[in-house]
Amino acid sequence: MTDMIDTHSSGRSAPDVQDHGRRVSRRRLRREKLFYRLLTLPALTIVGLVAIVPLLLLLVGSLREQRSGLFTLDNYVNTLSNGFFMRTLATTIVMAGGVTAISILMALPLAYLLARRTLLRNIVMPIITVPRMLPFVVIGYAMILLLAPMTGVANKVLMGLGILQQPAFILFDWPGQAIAFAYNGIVVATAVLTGVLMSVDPQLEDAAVSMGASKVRAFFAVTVPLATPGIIAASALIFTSVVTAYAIPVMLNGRVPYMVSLLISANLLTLQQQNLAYAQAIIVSVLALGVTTIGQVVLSRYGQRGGDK
Amino acid sequence: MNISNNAAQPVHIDRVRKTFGEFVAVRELSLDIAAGEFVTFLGPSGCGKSTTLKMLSGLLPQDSGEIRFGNKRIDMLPANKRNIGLVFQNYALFPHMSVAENIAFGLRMRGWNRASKEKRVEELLQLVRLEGLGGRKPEQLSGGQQQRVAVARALAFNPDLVLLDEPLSNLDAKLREQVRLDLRDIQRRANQTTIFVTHDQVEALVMSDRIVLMNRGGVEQVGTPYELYATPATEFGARFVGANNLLAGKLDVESGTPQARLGPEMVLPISTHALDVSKSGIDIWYCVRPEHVAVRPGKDGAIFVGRVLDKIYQGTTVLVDLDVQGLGTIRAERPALEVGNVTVGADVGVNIERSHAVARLS
Amino acid sequence: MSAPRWRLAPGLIFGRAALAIYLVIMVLWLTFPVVLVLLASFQGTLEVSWPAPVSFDAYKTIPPSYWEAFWFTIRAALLATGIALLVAIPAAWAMVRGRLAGRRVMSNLVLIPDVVPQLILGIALLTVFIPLRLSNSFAGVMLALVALSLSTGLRFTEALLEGLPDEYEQAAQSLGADKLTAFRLVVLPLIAPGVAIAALFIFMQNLITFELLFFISGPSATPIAIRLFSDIIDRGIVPYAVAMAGILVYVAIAFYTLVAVSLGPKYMAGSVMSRKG
Repeated sequence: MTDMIDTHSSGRSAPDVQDHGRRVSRRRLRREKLFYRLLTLPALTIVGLVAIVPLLLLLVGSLREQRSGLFTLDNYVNTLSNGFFMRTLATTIVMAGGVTAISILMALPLAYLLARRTLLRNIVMPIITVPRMLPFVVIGYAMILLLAPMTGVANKVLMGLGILQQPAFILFDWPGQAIAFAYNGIVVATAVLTGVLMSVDPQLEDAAVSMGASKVRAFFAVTVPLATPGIIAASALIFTSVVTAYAIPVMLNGRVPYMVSLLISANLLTLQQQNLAYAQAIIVSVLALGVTTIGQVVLSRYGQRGGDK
Repeated sequence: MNISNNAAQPVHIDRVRKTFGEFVAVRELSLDIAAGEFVTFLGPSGCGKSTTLKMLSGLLPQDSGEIRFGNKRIDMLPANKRNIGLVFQNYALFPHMSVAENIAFGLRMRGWNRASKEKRVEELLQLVRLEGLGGRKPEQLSGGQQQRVAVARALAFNPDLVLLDEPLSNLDAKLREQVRLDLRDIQRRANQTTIFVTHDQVEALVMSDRIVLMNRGGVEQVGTPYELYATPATEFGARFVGANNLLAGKLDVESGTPQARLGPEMVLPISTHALDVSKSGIDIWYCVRPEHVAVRPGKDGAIFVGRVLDKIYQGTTVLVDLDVQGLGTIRAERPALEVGNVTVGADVGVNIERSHAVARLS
Repeated sequence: MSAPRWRLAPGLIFGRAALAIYLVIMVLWLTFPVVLVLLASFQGTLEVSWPAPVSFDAYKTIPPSYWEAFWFTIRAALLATGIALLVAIPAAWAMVRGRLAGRRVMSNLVLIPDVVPQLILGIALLTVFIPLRLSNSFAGVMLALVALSLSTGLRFTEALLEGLPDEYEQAAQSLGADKLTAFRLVVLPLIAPGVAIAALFIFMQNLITFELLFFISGPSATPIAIRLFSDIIDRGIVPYAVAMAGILVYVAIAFYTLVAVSLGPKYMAGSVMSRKG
């Protein structure tokens, strides 16, 4: 049996044979990397052509004057100084904020119950999931069936019970839209928050209770702070979905447009003010993306503390 | 059973080196392994043993150096062309394939026909004593059984070299002892050149023909288990392999033979050493294994006097912690029957039966 | 219709009663749209009465144009899902295993269609599709759906591949398989169940996509969601439209059953959470 630790100085391999070997393996590595890059090419091409390029063109279009094609910031300036647009943006934000708040508050207790009780969750899960597999238009139909002045279930029931003397005309006005958004908001909030609360270790709450806190106190003192990043992420989600919604505002629209998406589509389709519409669309996306980014940043920074799987 | 690997090759590792940015994972490593030899790379986590294994298997390219099987240079070949069997720490058995399909995978890659594959799988199942379990899925097997399937899979195609990456660390203690011996038995019967990686020095001592002791990317010592245990070459080896009492001292060669000066009046003989004896006065560690410290009730006839600090019962042996005059705290390990009447707090006689010395770096 | 707010209840009985009321209200709230739509579809009218005779008239009078739109949507959704996964799986494998520089950037780029509000992307597509004559075409709708599906698909597959330990492919390689063979024989079978579930989710997502497709659809390319929408704008609500909405509800229920049966309810909460609203 041979034995040795130290280097062989017998010059078994000439330097250029060593280099050749290294060159071969380096070439092989480069071919490998190229191969991998080629595999990512279709995906990048599709996204580039179908998403990035159109968005860039949108941006470029927003910076040009409608008729002349000259580059200008007028579209943005006009929009941001337009009282009508800004008021509508404000009502959109108020609507989105209100819907988000209500959704989170209403869904949180249910999400907590679902997170802790498997049986309840198994029963309720289809109720939360099936509505998310429907186009929002169907929810709009349901709103009509519910809130229509003469034929809607709500009005019929309330009038039949004598609570209402005459039908409430809330369908084609902001309450109708708000209810539709709140429906979707609560569905999404329940689903997302259930997941968030499931990831908070129940033993932490039990520990608080064993140290003397009441169950409710433990919930607010222990679970809620740990779930806060997830709550913020869910809020961002709901907020942006309301701000950028289009189907419901159009379906349940009244005389006064409350939602910015109506203005954008009017400019785009009816008024032939495409570039203005692009600028407005970009302003709205910046708002939506800003909110989402804040949510993501908070989630990635403070998420996973005290969580388990 | 025609399992013996007649084509077993010697393995030559020549100045293999690997760095990750600034961090040197493996300093120039050179080693010659004989055909059929069982060599263990032993060392703490991060010493470079797993990195070396990955370079040998081809899953990680080396920065410089060569690897040869016999005369064939393999370090330029991709992992799938090196004809090496690899047993992973977590076994990595394909969950969607049966045990037989797992074992046959290497044969399938080499184009064996159905009949030969079946025959070979049967041979291997017998070799690892899992006959009849070929149709099971890996998840249906116990940890020890899965490990044997992993070994069978790696051996199936008669590789030039088998690499095992801490394959026993996921097994519980009792099972580990049994599987150790099983593995060694399988390796001997298959006459398979094997490199085994572990941080468990008992495993290394039990299983290996030779051990490569590694620390921080470098090789501390290469030798048989006996050499590493009885005569460690460095302080790291003295500490890492087996328990040891290390006493600081200086080398004293005035009397002609190397001795350890542990104090102004304390000069002790050294049984073995790994020192350059031309350098008198260098710092050394005087190493005494616990089993070489004799303890006697009563002080007559003993060279040292000590007080018993603690007794820890271990089943067959007892650890006795002593405070020895002139030497400090020393741990002895004696058969339980021998020290039955030694009590904590008592004064006892202490003898040193055997000692070793290594260089002490400050 | 307002619901009681969650309050700190002093007494246990009061607390329990409040909880029960809350649960009932929430369940009612969550189910009322689907229930109303289904009830109305079986009553053949535009309002829900109780009790009322069951009538299939609404279903029977669904016009061919609606069925056309429905099958158009199914075809586009199926094709888009297939193409997206065919593109996403190799891309995800390359990104996860290939250790490419700029992998984060690539990953985020492909996420863009998911992150940007559908409304905006839909408008952007309109500007590009008109000169390319892709608006009002099956190809255009499908392209838009592919881009959206790719985001979701890549996210899913990347997660699946990251969850698959390196060691399987390394073991296959050490046994003699080159990278492609290892991918075919080891990686694909192991991620196949996950990919199937992802395909289901992506298919449903494509089926109900609205804002993205609204601006680029047209008379010859009308997804069913848009058909239902434009009819209600133009004509107001009609019984057969409610019936078609009912059909969509059945599709959604069928989808849920498929996923729940193959996964088990516990997983549903996790995956449902990761999808966007």
